Amino acid sequence: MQNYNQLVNDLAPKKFGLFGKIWLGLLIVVLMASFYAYYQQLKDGLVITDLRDYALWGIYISNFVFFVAISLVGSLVSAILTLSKVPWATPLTRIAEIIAIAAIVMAGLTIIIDMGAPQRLLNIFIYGRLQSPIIWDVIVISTYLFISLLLLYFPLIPDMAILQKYYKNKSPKLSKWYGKLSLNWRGSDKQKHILHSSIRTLSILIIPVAFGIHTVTSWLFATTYRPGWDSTNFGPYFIAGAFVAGAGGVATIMYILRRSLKLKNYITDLHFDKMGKLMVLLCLIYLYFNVNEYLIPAYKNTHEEAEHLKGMFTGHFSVKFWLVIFGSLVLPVILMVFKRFRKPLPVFIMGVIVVVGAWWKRYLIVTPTLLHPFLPIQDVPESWHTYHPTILEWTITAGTLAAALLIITLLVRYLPVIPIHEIAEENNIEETELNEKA
Amino acid sequence: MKSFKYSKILIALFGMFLLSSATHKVQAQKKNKARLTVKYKKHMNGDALFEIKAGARVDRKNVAVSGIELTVSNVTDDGSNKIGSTVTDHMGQTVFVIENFGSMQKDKEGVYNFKIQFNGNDEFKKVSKSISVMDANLLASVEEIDEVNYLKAVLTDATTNEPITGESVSLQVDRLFKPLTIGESFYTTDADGVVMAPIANDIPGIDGNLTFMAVIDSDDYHKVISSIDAKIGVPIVENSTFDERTLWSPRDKTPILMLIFLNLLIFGIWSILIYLTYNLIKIAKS
Amino acid sequence: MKEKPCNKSSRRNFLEKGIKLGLATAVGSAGIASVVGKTSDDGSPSGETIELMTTDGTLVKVDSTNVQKVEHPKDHDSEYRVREGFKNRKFVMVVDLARCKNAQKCVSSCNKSHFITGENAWLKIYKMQDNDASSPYWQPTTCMHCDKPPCVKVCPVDATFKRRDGIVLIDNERCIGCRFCMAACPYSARVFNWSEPNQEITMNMDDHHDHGMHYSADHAGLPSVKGTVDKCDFCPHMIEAGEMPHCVSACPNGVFFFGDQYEDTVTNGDETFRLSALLKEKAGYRLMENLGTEPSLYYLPPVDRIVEFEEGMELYNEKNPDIKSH
Repeated sequence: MQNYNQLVNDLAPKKFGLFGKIWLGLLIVVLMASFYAYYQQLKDGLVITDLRDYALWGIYISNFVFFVAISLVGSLVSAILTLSKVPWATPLTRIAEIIAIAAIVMAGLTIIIDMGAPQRLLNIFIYGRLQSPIIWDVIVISTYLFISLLLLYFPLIPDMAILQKYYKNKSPKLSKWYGKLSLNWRGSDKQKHILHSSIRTLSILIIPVAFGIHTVTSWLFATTYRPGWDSTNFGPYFIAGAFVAGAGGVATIMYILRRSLKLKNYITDLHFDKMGKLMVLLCLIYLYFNVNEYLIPAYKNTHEEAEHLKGMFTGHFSVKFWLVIFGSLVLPVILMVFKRFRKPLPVFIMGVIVVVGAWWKRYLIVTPTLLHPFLPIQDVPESWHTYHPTILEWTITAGTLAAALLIITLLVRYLPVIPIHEIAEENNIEETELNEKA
Repeated sequence: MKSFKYSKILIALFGMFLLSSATHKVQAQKKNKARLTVKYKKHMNGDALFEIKAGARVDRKNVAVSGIELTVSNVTDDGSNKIGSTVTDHMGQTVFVIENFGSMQKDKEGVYNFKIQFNGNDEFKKVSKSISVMDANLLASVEEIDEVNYLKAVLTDATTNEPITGESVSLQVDRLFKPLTIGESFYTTDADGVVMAPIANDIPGIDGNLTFMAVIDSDDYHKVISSIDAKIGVPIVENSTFDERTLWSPRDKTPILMLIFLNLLIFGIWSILIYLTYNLIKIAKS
Repeated sequence: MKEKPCNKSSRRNFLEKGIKLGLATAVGSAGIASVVGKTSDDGSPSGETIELMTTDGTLVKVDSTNVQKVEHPKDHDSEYRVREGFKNRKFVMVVDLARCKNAQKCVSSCNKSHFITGENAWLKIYKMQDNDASSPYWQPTTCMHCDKPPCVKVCPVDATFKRRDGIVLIDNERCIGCRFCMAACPYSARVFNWSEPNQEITMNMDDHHDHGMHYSADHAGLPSVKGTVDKCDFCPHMIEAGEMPHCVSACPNGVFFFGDQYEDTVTNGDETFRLSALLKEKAGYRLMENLGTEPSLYYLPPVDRIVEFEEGMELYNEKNPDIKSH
């Protein structure tokens, strides 16, 4: 590989180019629009949405579940792949951690958006009762956020020290910040020992917590009696789905970063090939769970399930349902089995499709069930029988997605997206004095 | 269940009161005819009283006549003595307690006559209602015969002390809202003025305490009620899970196992996380 | 439900303190009419007037005879706590489906008494038909006040709670509006205040000096709070006053029976039965028994009905009962 000088030069965070600035502006515009929409919601209440007594949860909640799902990628790449010593995973670990943190932060904020009385948020801490799955979710989400932050930060410490030196003359102000965050990293044996053992502990610890966050989120649904949610399969079903969403997210973002940050030498075709294979495997596992979730109830066809499944298979939700199943789960499997579709661009496109499909999958988990309660929907306005999210609702949801992308964008702006220190270590590149000119 | 925390109801009904008074103003032009309904009730263990309801038919709707003053008089052979007055509430109802029944005067046939009168106001015409009452005494008791408990009631004329025969008496046990009938819905008094009915041995009451009642409601004697307490019921057994640790209990009654398990998980994981955070400091220090 | 007579000296006493006023006359329906008959020594209006502030902020003058002190529970009062409920009681309701002809009186009375302003009625009459061969019937449905309430299980902040007397209530001052309880309830009993309820009766929840008006979970709907959940409360405010829930007394056909399970007695106002005997004789059942929620609401099957089902169709589909009429 290249020499150390070039390595640092390639991987050090760079200022936004024109495209970056336009992108940033776009995100801020969407965010401002969603602030306006949320202001309306605070003022008038949730009546600005199309949520009503039957469709009592909608795209806010499915968006929340989506964010939780995406966040699983942090444990997938940086823990599972790293622990199993998959050699090609190193350049992807930081990207995965950044996505995970953005997703988990926005998951927490999205659930607040769904609250009818957000001014009473503190009640959760003042009056929280351990019997409620929501409290489990609050605990496990904050734990996962903290672990993810640590898992992002520990491997960053040596990089911070490198960047401090790198920016010494280029940008003294930045250099000072990197210096502070590097925690006096000199690369001594003792420091290395603490660092590696901490990362290893975190990598192990994040796996049960990541399983916990998805399982508990699935329990928000599975602890009710409603058809479509009342399933003992829901925990693993959610985890399997989260892996798919997370892998799709990484495939998407790594392609964009490779293009915009010119990282062709670090995120190679091999990575796309491997991610393509991984996505095939994960989609197959998720399809397996979907067969369990939909076909077994359909076989039994109890009265409640039948109504719910009819809406999915042939009714109101059928177009979305089959598009999600075939478009974003079966199609990626069929295509990416072939090597020629495991090139960067096709994998990127598949990644986008998988992520979009994953979002709609959450919608299909949340909404149809609520529209098929045990007692018939009667004596309410016609519009309460269906759920069509309003423009304001979509705006707020778009805002949360923009905010997640904004967090990713800002982290990418200031952090090296490829771990410099680890790459250097793995490739036996000696740390040398940085050449000013390079 | 005492009368406390009425405020909510008060304010709620106060709103209705305001609205109903608005309709009254419309009627001010022509005077309407108010109707009085008077019921006499005598509690053997308490007061004798009148339950009065004032209503009117205005614009083909039945409305309550509230806030009118009614005077109550004892009508005798010689004339009438005012014994007091009362004002109807917003439902048009009021209760007038005859404070000293012993001082009331009978007519020559031994009947008490009363007159409830409304003197009229801007809205309603003058109206009155008369009621004649014969005074009866009813005495309820619980007797055990051959290990079966009976509720017995004796009805006598208060003036003559003679038993009253052929009168219908209802025997009941008091419950939260409405009393529960014991045996048949009515028993007819025999030559001794007595009625009797066996009491089921499985009636629940707090600590087994039950309040039994004998009630007559006749044209002559009106309503007379006698009650007696007896500890012959089945003590109620509270089976609420309120004091238990359940999944639906408040936070201070979380099931123990859940409490232990979740806290172990939380503290276990967070102590590792705190240790790892401490590692950051160690890196900085070394 | 005995009332304490309010004599003149105690009345003056509390007037001087200027606290917690209420209108005794307004409590007529709560069965304490006797108060008025006893308030004044001579039974006549005292001539004193008091200014009271109504809920819409206007001042009215009322004869002081009509004003009665509202008693509030003291802190050490062990008699009754909103979160604990009545001691030695377990409230149950029995709904006789054979008598229901969808007269809708229960719905309108409930709506009126709980100041429900929108489409979110707490009491619904469903048109049910178990299978094509059997006849349709009307099924009034309130909150089931389950003994193992799934809604209370999932509440994260203890806002909805199960009392000793079986009643499940919601503390609208604490509810965070997550709606998990609504998702958990298999009976669709819960409704949400999607917007500002705009009730006739309003209460400033932050102002604790508003003439002793305090929010209390045991009169649900007074007031309803934007962004929180509401539902049938089994009318503890009526039980307190010795009266039955509004739906029970409003029903012209005696469909609803209410009472104390410990006393084994239920009544619809006209008829009083022993609960156990009634359920045995008429084969009473509960909705979705298989879920294990143990509802406090029993149904008597719609057999030997008093009227044809079709008679109820007249009022079916009526979406906007005139809830504000008096």
